[in-house]
Amino acid sequence: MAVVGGNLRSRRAVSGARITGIGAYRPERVVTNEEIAQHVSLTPEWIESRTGVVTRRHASLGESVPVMGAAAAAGALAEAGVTASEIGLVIVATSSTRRPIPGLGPQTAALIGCARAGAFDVSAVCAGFTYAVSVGAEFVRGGAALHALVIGADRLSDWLDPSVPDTYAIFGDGAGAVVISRASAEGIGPVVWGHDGSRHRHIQIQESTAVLEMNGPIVYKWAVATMPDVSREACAAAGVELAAIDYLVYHQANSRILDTLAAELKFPPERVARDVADSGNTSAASIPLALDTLRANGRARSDELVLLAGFGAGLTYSALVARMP
Amino acid sequence: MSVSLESIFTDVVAMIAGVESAVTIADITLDSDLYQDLGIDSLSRMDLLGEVERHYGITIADDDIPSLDKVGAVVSVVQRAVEGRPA
Repeated sequence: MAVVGGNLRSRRAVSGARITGIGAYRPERVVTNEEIAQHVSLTPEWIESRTGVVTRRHASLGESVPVMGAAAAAGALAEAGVTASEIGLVIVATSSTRRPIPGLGPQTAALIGCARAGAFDVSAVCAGFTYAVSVGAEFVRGGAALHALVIGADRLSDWLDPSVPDTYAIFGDGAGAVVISRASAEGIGPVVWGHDGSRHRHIQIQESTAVLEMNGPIVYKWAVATMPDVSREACAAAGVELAAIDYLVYHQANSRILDTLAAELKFPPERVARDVADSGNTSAASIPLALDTLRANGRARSDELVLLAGFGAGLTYSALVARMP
Repeated sequence: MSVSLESIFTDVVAMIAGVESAVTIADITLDSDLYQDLGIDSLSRMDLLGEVERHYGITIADDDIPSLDKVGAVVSVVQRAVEGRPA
């Protein structure tokens, strides 16, 4: 019964939320530095030494964002022991739609078989996954969904061209996903986020060229000045010491940025997730792909703590601490 | 507030050595090119400028960064920023 002028019914936080499954999808085609170097005036050695990227994947025509996202989601659902029909919310973090309409969340949800889920996109580029995790966790805590699927999927190869070697050499395609489920004990800490929108031109796709451009050095300077404090704040918000974090899982922008952030935080480099050599910079997919790689190497075991932190175009960032499923 | 050009130069040289261990400090002059003479790459140049900002408590405008290719240019931008700051 509606009450004019009265309070609307709201959902209060009814539970905690935690990641219960992780999945990944890497496109079939591996692109080596030698192949990249055939199209640009860079040597394979230069690309590896300056960026840390050795290979990246380029999606085929059939490996669309929804297809890759659904494949990654299948792995996350299997680990979580959750069926597609139990998913109440699907969020796809992506910035590589060819057209602004439609968003890719509903197509992805349909492919997975999430018939009763809300579905939408989050466009925060390389910070998109961590933004989407924080949003998904809030909906689960609030009771809007028992389980949420959060997918980071990008195929920026559609927006690369040898005429812009800086991005052509670094970026790749892929998808990663997590299931976030209601939990009695909190498994996802508060998000710490922010932006410097005044620097929006430093990573952009101009309408006239339709190619991804990046002022890499300026973005690097911003990220290494910003993310150490953001990392500490995310730990403080979650009530844990940085030293208690088992793995730092940063957006895989390039290996140099990972080295500098680890050094700035005096964090053991061997506990910094690294997937950039094999996958390149996969934008919104890079953090879940790095989580997948950690586990494939026998690390980041159940209940261990990871700091997830995305940063990039916008410029925007978000970070949070989470417990591994 | 004023800080002498010499003392800024001395500090900047120390910071250059901090980001690029292969440089010979005695070879660094105001005219040294960070890339060509000192072998600093584009990201190490950003590490240097970040260190300069922290050391002096200044902010270097993004638009100024492309022109900061020589040691003297870095010293000048610091001097201008420090002089423009209230004592």
